[in-house]
Amino acid sequence: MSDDDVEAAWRRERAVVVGSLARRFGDLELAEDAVSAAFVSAMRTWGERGVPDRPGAWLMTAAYRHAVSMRRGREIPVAELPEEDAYVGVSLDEPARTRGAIGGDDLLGLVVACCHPALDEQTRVALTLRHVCGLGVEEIAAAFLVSPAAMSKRLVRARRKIRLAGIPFEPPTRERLAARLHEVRSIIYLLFNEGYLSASPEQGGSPVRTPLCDEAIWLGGLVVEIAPEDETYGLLSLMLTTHARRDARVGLDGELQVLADQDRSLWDASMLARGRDALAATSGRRVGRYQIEAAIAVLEAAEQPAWPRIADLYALLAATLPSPLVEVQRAAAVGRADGPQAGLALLRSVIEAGELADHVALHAVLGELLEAGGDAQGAAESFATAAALASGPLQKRRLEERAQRAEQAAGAG
Amino acid sequence: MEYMMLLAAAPDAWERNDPGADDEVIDDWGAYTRALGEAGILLGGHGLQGEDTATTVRLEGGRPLVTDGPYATVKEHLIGYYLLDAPDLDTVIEWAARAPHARIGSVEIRPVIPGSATRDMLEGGAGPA
Repeated sequence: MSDDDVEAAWRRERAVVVGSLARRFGDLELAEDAVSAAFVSAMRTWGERGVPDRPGAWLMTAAYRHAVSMRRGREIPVAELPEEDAYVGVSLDEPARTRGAIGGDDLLGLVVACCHPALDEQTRVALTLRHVCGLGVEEIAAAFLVSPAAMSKRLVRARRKIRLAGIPFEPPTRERLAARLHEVRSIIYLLFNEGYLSASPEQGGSPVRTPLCDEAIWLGGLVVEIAPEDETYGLLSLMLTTHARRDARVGLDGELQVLADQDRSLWDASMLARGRDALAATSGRRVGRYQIEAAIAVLEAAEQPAWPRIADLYALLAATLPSPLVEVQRAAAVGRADGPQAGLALLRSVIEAGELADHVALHAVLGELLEAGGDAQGAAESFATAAALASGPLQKRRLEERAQRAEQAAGAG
Repeated sequence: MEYMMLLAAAPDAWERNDPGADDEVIDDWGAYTRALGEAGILLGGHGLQGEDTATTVRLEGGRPLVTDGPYATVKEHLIGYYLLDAPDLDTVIEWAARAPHARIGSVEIRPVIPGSATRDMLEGGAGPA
């Protein structure tokens, strides 16, 4: 096991213990406190007695005893801490091949409770980061640009609602599972986009808040493991394939336009491969938006993108998840597959519907299609409009450059 | 004729009250409830947990849309209530989505404060264990 593997195993372990205690005591606050106390006990007693044979089992037992003591309103004496193999059935101590199943129910119960639709969306993201990923309140507060006190208050309120309203920590029944996993995926993707889109370079250098993206990818892998479903594999693949290009991305949200310009040597090849593997793991029985978007992302990352295939997938995506922005992206793909006139025809229907009139992507794609169709003057105007609408300075600069180039081409022609 | 009294208060009314006064209010509430009972006009009632524990269910395209918080009280009026005993919130959400009323309006789910039933106050017990 590498250090990263150990770290990942412990994170999972922590979440299993939190989920198990929350399920048993119906109280997330108590579970989290007991787990913290167990880690403190571990640091103290393992230093004296040495690390037990099965540290995971030790922690589960210690946390359980802490929880019982806390319920009774007293501190647990050291004498009551577990000796050695007090508890059986915790993942870290099991052979790797059986690890997936162990603790899976407790984990799933915890994940769906944190992502419960009866809680506000942002609160679900924060709860998941706190209790499943094990991030500290300060880290979460910093990620959401709020004060730690405000974040702490939000989390306390959320746990109170979970407890009083009776949001269950039991893993969902078979009938409920599909709907709940749908909710879980939307929260993971929200977290991913939170890291990917909303941070602008002005907010401190990197346009991508990598830690949030990493958490989302970790969660995606976790949910795939405990409740495998095609769409969850699709989501994981989409996140990996997108995030693999993080270093080559320049803070544009009209990603499609700049993909061709990206420096491929900056792409994370092993992450791209993991993205392809995740997509290959789907059964293909139930296709949904994440699988389609992942397939598009995988194809677009190819040296020679298969535009006709990509255009077909955008048509499928437009039917699954109708939105004007998808139509704009589809128009760009169709322009590459079938020529600029075909792309322009699609784009015109978006423009005529009066949609996205002040959206950068619409004008950037329009400029691109006009340029490809030989209308340099029209392209220059569209790129200039897009540049004026762009919010990030990098995006603005690139669009201005394209406007200038088109302008020069128009002058020369 | 039967009437339902809907008790309303500002969400932070309790927090603004000083802690010493809470006991007094609870005593007054008990006395008032007993008075209604002695007058023979009380059918039943419960206290509800605060609005921040509320969950609202409405149907959108025939599928339940679950949101955090109470419904917009300005636009919607309470037209009735069911009192349920269910194992968890998910069960109640499923029942709420099946209510004919969900097709035309929304159903707000509020957890009942344990032991707050007026009959428990009248019987002098502390409520179900």
